[in-house]
Amino acid sequence: MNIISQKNFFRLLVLFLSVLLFSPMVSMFWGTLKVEQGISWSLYDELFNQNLWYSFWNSLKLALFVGVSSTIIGTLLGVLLAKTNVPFRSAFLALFVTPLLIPPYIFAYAWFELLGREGFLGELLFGFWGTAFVLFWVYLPIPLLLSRLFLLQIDPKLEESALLISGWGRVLRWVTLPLIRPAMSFSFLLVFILSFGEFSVANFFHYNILPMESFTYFSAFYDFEMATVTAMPMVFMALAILWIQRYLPKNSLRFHQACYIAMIELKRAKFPFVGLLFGLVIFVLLPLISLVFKSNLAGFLIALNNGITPLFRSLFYASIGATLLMFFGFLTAYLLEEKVSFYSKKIDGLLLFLFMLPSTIIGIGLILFWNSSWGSLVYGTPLIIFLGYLGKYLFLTTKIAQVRLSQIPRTMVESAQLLGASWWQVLGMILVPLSRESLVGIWLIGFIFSLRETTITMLVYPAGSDTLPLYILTQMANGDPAVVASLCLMMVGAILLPLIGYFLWRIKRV
Amino acid sequence: MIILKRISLEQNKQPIFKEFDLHIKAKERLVIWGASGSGKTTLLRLIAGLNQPDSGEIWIDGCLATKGKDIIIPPHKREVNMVFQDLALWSHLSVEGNIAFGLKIAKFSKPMILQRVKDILLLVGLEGYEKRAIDSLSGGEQQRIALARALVINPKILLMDEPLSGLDSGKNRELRREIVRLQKLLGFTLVYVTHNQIEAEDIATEILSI
Repeated sequence: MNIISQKNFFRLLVLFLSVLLFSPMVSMFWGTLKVEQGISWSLYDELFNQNLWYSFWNSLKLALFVGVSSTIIGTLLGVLLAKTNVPFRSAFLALFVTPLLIPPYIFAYAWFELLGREGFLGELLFGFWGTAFVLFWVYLPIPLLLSRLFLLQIDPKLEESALLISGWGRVLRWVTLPLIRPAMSFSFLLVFILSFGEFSVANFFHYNILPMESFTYFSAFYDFEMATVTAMPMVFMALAILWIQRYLPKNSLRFHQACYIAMIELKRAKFPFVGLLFGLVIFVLLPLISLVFKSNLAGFLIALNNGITPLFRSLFYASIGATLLMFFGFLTAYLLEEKVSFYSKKIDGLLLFLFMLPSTIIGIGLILFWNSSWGSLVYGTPLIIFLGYLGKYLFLTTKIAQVRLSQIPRTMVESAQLLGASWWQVLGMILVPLSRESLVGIWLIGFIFSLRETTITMLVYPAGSDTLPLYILTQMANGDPAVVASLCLMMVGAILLPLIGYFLWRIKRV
Repeated sequence: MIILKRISLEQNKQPIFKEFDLHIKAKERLVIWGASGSGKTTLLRLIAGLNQPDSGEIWIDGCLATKGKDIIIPPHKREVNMVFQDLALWSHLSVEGNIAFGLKIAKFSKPMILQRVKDILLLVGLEGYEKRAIDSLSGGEQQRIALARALVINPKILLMDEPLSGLDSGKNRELRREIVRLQKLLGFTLVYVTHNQIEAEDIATEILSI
């Protein structure tokens, strides 16, 4: 390690991540242009196909609706849960966050089981409104968590000085909400792009969106080039969002917890607000409860018998995925925090771009890149799944690790440097131990997102090694509802139990 | 001896130093006194090599340590150590772990490390504190541990950045005397930054007001 400088090590890291994660995307694009005689754009004529534009419009409509509605409601819920003394705040927060952690199609299936296909509500479910409704609840936690995070770090003096001349209503409008505008705009962009690329819910509710066009070309016709071409509008959309987010106020995206929070005392008004929160949280609980009622002992035993191998495989893959996500996330966060080289900003943009790309594109890119004579070490093995996890979620674990690293005073590092510690000794002996608890959290987040991942795994998984989400997805089409409901509950348990364990561990430590 | 020659530095387009010169004699106790934002801490960081000036030179013991934006001698090879304002003690390590860190990096043998930790703790009046957790120490004890960690590697120059700012006046006075005693005993050059005039007069053999 002594022979490699900090700069060279991180150059290698950037190169490694770029080759592994970004090259598939580049080669996928190149594959659509390459013809025998040279380069041709002829395949892109398909972009002017009316059906494609119809799907594009549907995707855009859906993403805008989910983005705007979840940002508004999520921010208001964030204010309610972070700034007021409304009772059961932690419990409400945990419940509202739950849908983000569970594969979205489980919620789609649960609502279908609850409402059926007949009647006004059942008919409404299949199409735009059902898809938008489920995605709204799935992505609501993003603006909720981001606005809460920003609200908790507002300097209370800013609000208190305004409170001397006005009530909380105006302070919220003129001071608090403008201060968390970066959280709101970033949330909107994030939810917009995630809804734009989400595939499983729209597929379940038979709502024709752009990712389905690409997926159909790929899985039904094995036409890789056309699958790529029809995915291009999504790539351009991700690039557009990447360009827009550069102009968001960055200085506000640094996290330092304020020493105390200026709280809104609701007095008697807290009871109607608790009622409102109960009313909203029902929409999270109801589908989960419907799964409990739909399952029965016989169904559960069949689910256990058939699903136990995919479950253990899922847990194993997710554990490895989480470890890789934690390792590379922490190293990349260090690279970004230390501003080691010119490449720091590039890797940040690259990871955000991959995070925003629809999973179908990442999956297709990985297959096209590794399905070659030299890619046999990766293609057809679980390694390709792990690369999918890294591509999709490394941005997430990097950002969380970056938040932790930014909270460690610079002087802690400098003290070690003055005592002669090299960069990797500082990393291993100071920064990693000081981030121990955060690393557990980062691992857990990597674990949950790897465990719930469906689309990439569905595209790239080697024969005979399906995961639980895939097994559920195949059963959902024509399986016994009691078995499917039991499988869904197994999935929910596998995700929520480690999380509950983690929070109990944290509480015990405190 | 530390020599700063024609140091210029701008931060956020505001000039902090313009053609600034300073000579610090060996084994003296120089106190840099001034208002907040006058560049006291920056001056220490320049000497330590943690920051670079826009132009000018820094010489330490006759060797060119910094020339303009180039660090010629890296911080850990300057025989300089620093006690930061926030002390920067590592909460995941015990008292012994904090003090022994520099010795481990320098690859001292384990018995030697234990002996030197014991000796330095005796010197700062915290004998038997080896296994204590940092969070269990009082403010004054933490200051002493930060001092011990900086001194255990026998630096020729010790830089202290308002290390006593968080203490009450009684503890502050007690530790000032302790710092002077240790400087006389161990013979290092002390560059001490404060905005407290009494503290400055109590410690200094030379005072620089900036």
